[in-house]
Amino acid sequence: MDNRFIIPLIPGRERLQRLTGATKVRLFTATLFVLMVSFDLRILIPGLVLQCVLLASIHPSLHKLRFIIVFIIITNAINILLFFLADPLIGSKLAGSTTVLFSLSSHFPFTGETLWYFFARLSKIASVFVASLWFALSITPSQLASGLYSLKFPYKVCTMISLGLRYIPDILRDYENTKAAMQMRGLELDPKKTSLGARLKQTTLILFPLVIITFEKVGVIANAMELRGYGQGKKRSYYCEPETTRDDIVVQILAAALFLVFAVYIVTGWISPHPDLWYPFR
Amino acid sequence: MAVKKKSIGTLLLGEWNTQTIVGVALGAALFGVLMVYGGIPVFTNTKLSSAYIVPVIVGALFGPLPAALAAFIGNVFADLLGGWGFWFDWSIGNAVAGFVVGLLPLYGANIKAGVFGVKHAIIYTVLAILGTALAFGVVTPLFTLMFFGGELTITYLQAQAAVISDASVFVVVGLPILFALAARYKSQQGLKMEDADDTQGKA
Amino acid sequence: MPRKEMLPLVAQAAALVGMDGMLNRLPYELSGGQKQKVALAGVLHGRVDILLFDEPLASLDPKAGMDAMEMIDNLRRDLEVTTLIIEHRLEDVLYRPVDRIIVLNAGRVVAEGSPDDILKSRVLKQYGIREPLYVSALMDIAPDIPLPEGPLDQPGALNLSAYREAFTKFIQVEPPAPSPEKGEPLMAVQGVTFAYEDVPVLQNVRLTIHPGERIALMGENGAGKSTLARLLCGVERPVQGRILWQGKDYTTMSIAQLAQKIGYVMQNPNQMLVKDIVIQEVRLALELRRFPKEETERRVRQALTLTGLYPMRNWPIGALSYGQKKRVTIAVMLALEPSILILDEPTAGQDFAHYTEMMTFVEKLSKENAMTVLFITHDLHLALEYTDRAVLLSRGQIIADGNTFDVLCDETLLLQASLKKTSLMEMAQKLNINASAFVRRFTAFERGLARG
Repeated sequence: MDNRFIIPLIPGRERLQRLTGATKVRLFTATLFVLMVSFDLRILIPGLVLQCVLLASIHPSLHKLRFIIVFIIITNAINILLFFLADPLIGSKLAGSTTVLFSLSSHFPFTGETLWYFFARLSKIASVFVASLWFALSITPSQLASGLYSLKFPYKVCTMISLGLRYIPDILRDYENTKAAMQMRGLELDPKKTSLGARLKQTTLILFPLVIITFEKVGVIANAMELRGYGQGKKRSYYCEPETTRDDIVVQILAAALFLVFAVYIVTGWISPHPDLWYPFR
Repeated sequence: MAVKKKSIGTLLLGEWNTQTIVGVALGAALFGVLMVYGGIPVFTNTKLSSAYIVPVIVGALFGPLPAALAAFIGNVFADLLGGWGFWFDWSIGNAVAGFVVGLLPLYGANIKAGVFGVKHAIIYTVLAILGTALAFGVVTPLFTLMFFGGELTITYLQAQAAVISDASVFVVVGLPILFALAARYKSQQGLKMEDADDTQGKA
Repeated sequence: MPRKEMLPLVAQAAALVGMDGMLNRLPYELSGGQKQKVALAGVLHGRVDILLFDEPLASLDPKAGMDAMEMIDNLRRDLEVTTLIIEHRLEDVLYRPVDRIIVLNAGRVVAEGSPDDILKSRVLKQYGIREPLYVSALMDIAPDIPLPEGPLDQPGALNLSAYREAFTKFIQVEPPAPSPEKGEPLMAVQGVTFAYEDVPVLQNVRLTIHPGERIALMGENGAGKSTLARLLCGVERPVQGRILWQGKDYTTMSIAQLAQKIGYVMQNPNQMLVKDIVIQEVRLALELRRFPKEETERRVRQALTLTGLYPMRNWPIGALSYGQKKRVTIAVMLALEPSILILDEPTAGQDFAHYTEMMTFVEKLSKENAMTVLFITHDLHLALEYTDRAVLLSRGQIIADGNTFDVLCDETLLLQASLKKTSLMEMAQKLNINASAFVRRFTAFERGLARG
């Protein structure tokens, strides 16, 4: 059915995994901010390396990753191609210079900047992806909730996230079952054999029972939660959150430093705009 | 029985209790699953995706703010499951779309009581189209600019595609489901046990 | 509460229910009974005065049911807490003694008393609740013999010697009916192995299904019953081995095509119901296959009539009770006129009266149309009363395949498949009479009685 990675429910044993939820959340968000905002390869490449190191530290199963990595490469290749077709000069717009390497046609010059830009973009996506991987594989839904709570998110919102995560596999299973049921009814799912309009209609047939089943559960789960006293207090603690260790403090300082980098970058960007793309070969 | 008319503020906020929290959670999970496992890719990060009925349902059951949250969190889940990285500009856009689409209680549609007529359908359709246009045509590009800078052209193209595809999902898939849900809930109301005079029997 | 304080409390609650070794497991990995224990542990913190259980045995296989009752009883004693159990599987609840039974009907209390009194008064029958089998046996087979001394709810303690003669005579009344001829096999499962993400689920399964058979597929939760059903329907395909339909390998047939031969009625009717009105629902499968209008209407009418839903054909689905919805799902599959009908846990969630109604018409169906019916269940009573053949699965392998009464009265097999002996069997063993003959005869006898 599904061999993509889904957040584990039991904390792992590696150092990264033994950090508290609060620490991991901080590290991840700070990393994310920095990676998302920068097109500067001086930041992106080290960032990518760091993420890979973090991921390697938890010894993920390569078998599962293989499928996803291939998928990512393909979608991003297409993505980049479309970007190029839409705007071949994007590199130059961002870097502020144009160095044409060769031209496919008058409309499609191949600039060094654009190439560089695509490389930067790839690095960015790769590093964000690897970061999501180590984050997803080292945190549990409850720890995620407690991590966010430590950042002062209201705990009810945290519950939504952790509860949702925990139910993803269940809903996936329901989806598969409903699809199977509809196929038995005679629904033809092969895209080669059906028109777009027909497929839209078919979707309703699968969605309707799925929606009913999913939302049927709401009452039962809410009941169970309330039976255990959920929602009574203003504050709460988390069982799954391990005690803070020295590792945690170190990493949290690191995360704060990253966030500082991010802030500086943004602020200097306002004060004196610089080209978004750092292009060394002018 | 006179029911106190709820203020706009309350309606906008939606109902908030444990059920809402669970509803948003499960809705987000469903959104994530549908977005990744159901649909056809149209343009890079955009898909013709059945996930978009989730904010419609959550909105109908709980209100616009829960719908927005379900869409936002669901979108993040989808990014997680799909593994293509987190794109918060789109997640925020999704939240806005979810909010608008979830405005049903505001104009009198009450799915839980089975109320959803042609008038509501029309308002819903208009809102869906406008909301999608707002969310992906304005809000997302704005955030993309803020977060990533300088990708405006491509984002606009993606945005057009998103608006068209998502709006069509909202209408073509959303409407029938809204009607069907309303019908289902309506038929559960006002039932009487018909014993002796009912030849049509029980279970 | 600070985490440090939580840790010992959690450990304590877990120990109370016997799950202290499993604190680090995923809920998904647990069996139904274990999940229940976890849920229970979750509410045991602090002083609890009353423990309320709502259908605790509902999704449990018989053995897990026994464990659950043991746990409930032990907790009651250890915590000295009042316990209230809502259930209609009375016989299973009585595995451990209770002080009082309260019977409700249409919102009113219609009977209340000690189990002994309630059972003796036979009030349960009036309200659609199944009596413990041994009680029916004692009271129906030899009504003239005075009931033994002692509480009727504890069969182990009763002296039944007075009944030995009557029961022995009882078995001799009728020779066992000859097994009907088998006919050409419809489906053959040959050496099929199936694994899910490298976890083996079924191993080297061999099974042949003939027309008109009534088969019970049983085994503990997770033994592979649903997987086997899905394989039969083509939703999954074997990793090794073949499945044949009327002699030909079924891989060339699509799910939709197979659905016209094998109808699979899912356990949760909501997973199958997509339309607003009953008749639309039943038509759907035929419309999707583009059957001509006349043929569609004929089949729909037939399916609705067979399931007794014809007068309700224009009712909205939302207005139906759970049992009615189940019947709709059966009608839905019947419209395709399959040769084999698979019913997944048909009795789950239904009380005795309703399930009897449904099973009676399913039985009629199978007799009148020579349709094979396969029940996936762990309800022993269902198997004994409505099937001729029982197939037991344990850990992905078939451990038994034969006449229902023979299979289900074999102690070793029962143990392996997490099933439990019926009280009839225990009684027969105690009186030293042939258990399988007794159960068989009794089942037929009760059917005869029911028909009046």
